[in-house]
Amino acid sequence: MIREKRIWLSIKYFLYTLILLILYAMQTTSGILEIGGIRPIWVLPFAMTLAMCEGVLAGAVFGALSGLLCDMGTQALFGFNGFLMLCGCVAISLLSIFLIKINWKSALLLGSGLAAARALLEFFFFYLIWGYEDIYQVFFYSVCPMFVYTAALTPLFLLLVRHLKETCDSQWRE
Amino acid sequence: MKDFLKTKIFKVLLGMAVLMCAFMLHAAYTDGIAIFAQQVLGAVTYPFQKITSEISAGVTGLLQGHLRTEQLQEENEQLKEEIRQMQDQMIDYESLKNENQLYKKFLDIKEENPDFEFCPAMVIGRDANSQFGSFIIDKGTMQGVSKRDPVITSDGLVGVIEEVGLTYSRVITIYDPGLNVGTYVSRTRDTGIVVGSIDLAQEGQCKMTYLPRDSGAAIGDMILTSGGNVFPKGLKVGTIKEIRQEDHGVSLYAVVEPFADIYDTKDVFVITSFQGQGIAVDEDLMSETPAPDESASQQASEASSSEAGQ
Repeated sequence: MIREKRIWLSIKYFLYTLILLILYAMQTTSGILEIGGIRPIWVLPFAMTLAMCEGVLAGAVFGALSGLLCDMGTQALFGFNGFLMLCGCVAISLLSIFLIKINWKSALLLGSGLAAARALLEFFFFYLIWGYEDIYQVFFYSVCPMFVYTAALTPLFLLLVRHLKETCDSQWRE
Repeated sequence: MKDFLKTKIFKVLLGMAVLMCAFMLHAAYTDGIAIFAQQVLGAVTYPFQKITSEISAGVTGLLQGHLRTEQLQEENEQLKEEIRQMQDQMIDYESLKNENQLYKKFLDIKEENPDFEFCPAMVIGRDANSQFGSFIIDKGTMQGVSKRDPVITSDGLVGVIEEVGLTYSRVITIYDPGLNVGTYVSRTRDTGIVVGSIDLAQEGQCKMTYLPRDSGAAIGDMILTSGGNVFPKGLKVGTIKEIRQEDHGVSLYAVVEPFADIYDTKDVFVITSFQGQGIAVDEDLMSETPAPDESASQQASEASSSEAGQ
């Protein structure tokens, strides 16, 4: 029983990691599900819903990992998104355990909150304080649509993570 | 909740948070040199990125053939018109021949610059976060790429290496307001600084600032790099689309359309070595944007060796 549990847990986390890497590759490839030149931060809703369903430690690890992946492709300091996502996913995980019922509405709410916090902090540190001209254009035409697109994906990822978790967990519980 | 703060998990989380802060401090200290964790992540994600970019390119190519017939017809008509214009111009053959010889010096980079060493690279990632067309290429320190190496296509200058790992590098483009490139107008020899701006970047343009008020630069003039320790002299940058007055009124600036198709380019060349590269790099100049009251030529010569990272 214990051996079987370990095997299925390993399979589950291997699949989570694989999905995260595929989502990151999609995130950094032009043209994949792009709407008006806007692409979502694919790894963010995935890590966030994983934190909701899998608990604090797994949420923290996948949150930090997804943040570090975001740092790889952008001008952000390596670790900046990692730190943000770590804190965000831990907070979301604790909220899901102690306060909030896990459903698509709460996923949308928490996903919006985390995406908004990340977008605003990145906008502040990488655009606003540098005093570039016309930064409102970046905010309204890039940051805001990306935030909306990213947040809108959270219920879908909740379905995916829940389904994967239930499928793998039911194997060793039987 | 109070119990949670006493658990081992909480201590692990604290450790992870400290690790993230250490990454940030290290990244800030080393200024673009990828750390071990970055190298590992880069190596793990590299095959995924390569596969998805190739799939994306294949699908895009397939769809373009079917869906863009009208656009292609329009483009075909436009090209035919251009050919007609070119044929008219060919009448004055001798003057064109001389002009051609003059431009050849600038256009045929490799022939004119035997000191250049190139590293061909493929664009494997364009993050959704990047606002100024920055991208990731599949070449890194293992292939001899270093930070601040210029990146070009056969059409012209694209940008500069901002961060380098073992098997990947991140390129910031000339649309980025943080990158200054010392340039001159090929016809009038007026010097200036090519720099990105947010509004122009969205239209695939950048600007050449600090042009003197009496500059004879005109629409259609070609912009070339003026040379320095970051960019070699004579790299094609773009053409002037418009001349405007700066807000402070002291100088002019030109709206420049880069020759290179920066947002859609799939293959680039990294100039890993050229004569004069990296000599006397002054870090103080790296982040300075020259003041408007200084002479334009001095600013351009300073900026010719400068690129500003954040």
